[in-house]
Amino acid sequence: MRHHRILASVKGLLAAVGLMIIGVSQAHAVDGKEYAGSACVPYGTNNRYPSYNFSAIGNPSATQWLYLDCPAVHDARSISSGWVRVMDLHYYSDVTCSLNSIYFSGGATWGWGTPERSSVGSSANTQQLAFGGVGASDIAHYYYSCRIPPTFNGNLSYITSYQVIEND
Amino acid sequence: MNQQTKKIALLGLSFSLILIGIGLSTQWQQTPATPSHQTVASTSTSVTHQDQATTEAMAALKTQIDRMESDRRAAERRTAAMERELALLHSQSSPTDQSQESTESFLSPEEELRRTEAQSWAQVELLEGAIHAETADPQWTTLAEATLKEAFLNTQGEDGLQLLEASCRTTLCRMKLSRDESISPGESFRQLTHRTPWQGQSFVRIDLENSADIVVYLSREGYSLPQVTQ
Repeated sequence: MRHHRILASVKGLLAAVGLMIIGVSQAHAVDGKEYAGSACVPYGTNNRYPSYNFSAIGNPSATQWLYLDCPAVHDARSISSGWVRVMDLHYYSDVTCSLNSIYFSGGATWGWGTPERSSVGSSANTQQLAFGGVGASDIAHYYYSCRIPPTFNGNLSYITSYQVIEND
Repeated sequence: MNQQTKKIALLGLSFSLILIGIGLSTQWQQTPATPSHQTVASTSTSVTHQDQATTEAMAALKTQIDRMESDRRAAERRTAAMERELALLHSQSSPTDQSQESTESFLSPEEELRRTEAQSWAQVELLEGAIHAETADPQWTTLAEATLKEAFLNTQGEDGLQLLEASCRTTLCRMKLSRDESISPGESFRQLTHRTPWQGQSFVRIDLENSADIVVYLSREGYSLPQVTQ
C-alpha cells in the first residue's frame, strides 16, 4: 500500500514537472521584434518629408500632418500584442496609431485591425501606446498606421520605436 | 605286392608332391593379387568413410545454408515491419503541426490563395453565426448602434464613407458601408479605424470592385472577435 502511494507521488511529481516544462515552452512561444521609428514609411500627397533624429521619425511641418505606415515582420501565427513609443510635443493634437493585419484575396481586401490609440497631453518623455491581439491570415502583412501632428512652437513630435509580439 | 606296391605308392606320392607344388606355385602367383584385393577393400572402406564425412559436411553445410536463409528471411521480415512502422508513424504525424508546416511549405501560391480565401469566408461564417447566436443586450445594443451611426454619419460627404447598416447584439456588431469612388479601399480602411468609436477588435472586408460592399465586424470593448483556427 505504501509502495503504491510512493509510486503515485513520483508519478504526480513527474507529471507536474512535465506540465511545468510544457508551460515554460508555451510561455516562450512568442516572438517579439522592435523597430526604430525610421522604419516607418510616409504616405499621402501633402507631406512626405519626415525628420529623423537618432532613428526616430518626426514631423518637421508646421502645418501638415505626417501619415506613416510602420511595417512589421510576420513570421508566426498572429499578433498577441504590440506597442508604439511616441514623443508628443503638440499641446493639443496627439500622435495616433492603429495596428493592422491586411491581406488581399478573392478580389477583396481583408483585414484585422485595432481602433486607433492616441498619446495623451504633451511631454518630452516618451509615451507607449499599447495594443492587444490582432488576428491574421498566413498571407497577411502587419503594419501600424500612424499620424504625427505638425510642430507646435517649433517642437517636433516623433515616433521613436515600435514593437509587435507574435504568438505561434 | 612288395616291389610293385612300393612303385605305385612312390608314384602317387610324387604325383601328390607335384600337385602340391603346382598348387603352391599357383598360390605364389596369386599372392600379389591378394594384397590388391586388400587395398581395394581398404580403399573401399576409406572411400566409404570419406563419403560419410562428405555427406556429413554437406549436411552441415546445408544446415548452415538453411540457417542463413532463415536469418535472411527473418531480416527481411524485420525490415518490412520497420518499414510498415515508419509508414504508420509518418501517417500518424500527418495531422500534426509538423506535417501541417510541411504541407504549408508545399502549397503552391495558387493553392495558398485558394486556402486563404476559403479561410476568409469561413471567418465570415463564424462571425455571422456568432452574431445570430447572440441575443440583444438591452443595456448595450441600442446604445452601440446609435454610437456607430453617429460616428459614421458624421463622415458622410467628408470622408467618402457611408454607413448603410449597423446592428449589434451582446458582444458583436456588424456594419455595412459603401465608399465613394473618390477614395481608395486603403483610404476607406484608414477611415474605418479612425472612426471606430470604441476600442474593439475589427475584421473588415472591402470589395475592390464593388464600392458599396464594405463589411465590418466589430467586437464590444473588452471582448475579442472569434477567429477561425488555421
